[in-house]
Amino acid sequence: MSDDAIDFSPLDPTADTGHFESLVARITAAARPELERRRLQSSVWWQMVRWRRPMLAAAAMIVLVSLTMAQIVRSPAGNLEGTGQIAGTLGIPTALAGWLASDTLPAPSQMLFLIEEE
Amino acid sequence: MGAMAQPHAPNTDVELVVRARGGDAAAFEWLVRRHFRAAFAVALAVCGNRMDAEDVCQEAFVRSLEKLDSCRFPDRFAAWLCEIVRNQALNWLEQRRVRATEPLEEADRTDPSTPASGQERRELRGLLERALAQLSHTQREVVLLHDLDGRTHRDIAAILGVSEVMSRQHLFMAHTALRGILGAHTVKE
Repeated sequence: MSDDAIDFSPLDPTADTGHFESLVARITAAARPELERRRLQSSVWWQMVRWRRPMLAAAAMIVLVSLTMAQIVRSPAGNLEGTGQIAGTLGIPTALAGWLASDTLPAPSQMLFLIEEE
Repeated sequence: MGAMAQPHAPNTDVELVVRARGGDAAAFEWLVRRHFRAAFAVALAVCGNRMDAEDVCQEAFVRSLEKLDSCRFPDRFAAWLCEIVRNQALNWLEQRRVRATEPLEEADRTDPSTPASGQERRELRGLLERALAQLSHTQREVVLLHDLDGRTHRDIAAILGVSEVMSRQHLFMAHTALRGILGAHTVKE
């Protein structure tokens, strides 16, 4: 097989440097909006926008878990356990710990009754 | 191979593709410079004339940038690009066929950047374009990628999706036909 190449230089678009440079300039100008879009997409802000939905989903999950935990802690069993713990830790009567935990003020008569009991 | 002689040429297509994906204009420009001739060869094989091939290349390069994320093997960027160019050129051909009520006069489509003194060159271009039109589409792609862009048979095989042996055969047949049409004066020294 013959390997003699045909001279296609008259068709070579890069042979005329000026013409080739204008071709490259035309292409890069036409590509500018897409390049700009890509630059924007790779920025930190865009990444944050892109991750908005997963982040919202994660935040919602955390809120849900927190609310569930709070509900469990505030349950009667939880309160009872908490009251006993407070009483044990502070060395105070269970009734007083109950008032502390429930955040309610006892009546003076209740206080007197408690002191008398002690 | 097809790369323009420019200072500070970056290393690989992979690096350029990754940077261009991030919107790096310089990287994209390098890809254009490096692969324009191959893209042009493929477009010319379909369009049949230089001016339209250049227009197709412009559209194809912009399209390739838009689709760059789907380039799964950046090390084979040239083959991937040439596929886009071929599709773009075939679309162009189809559109031209649709609006073929007034066929384009090749004489009116002369390159405005060519000075009047380039008359002989223009004639040579016309001669080459007419000779290429006598070949099959694959033969045109092979001979242009080989003789115009300087691609190896291995590259051509990857670009066209054929074996290296087939690429050699196509080239041989193209050369034989072209020599018959053009005569000896267009053979490279």
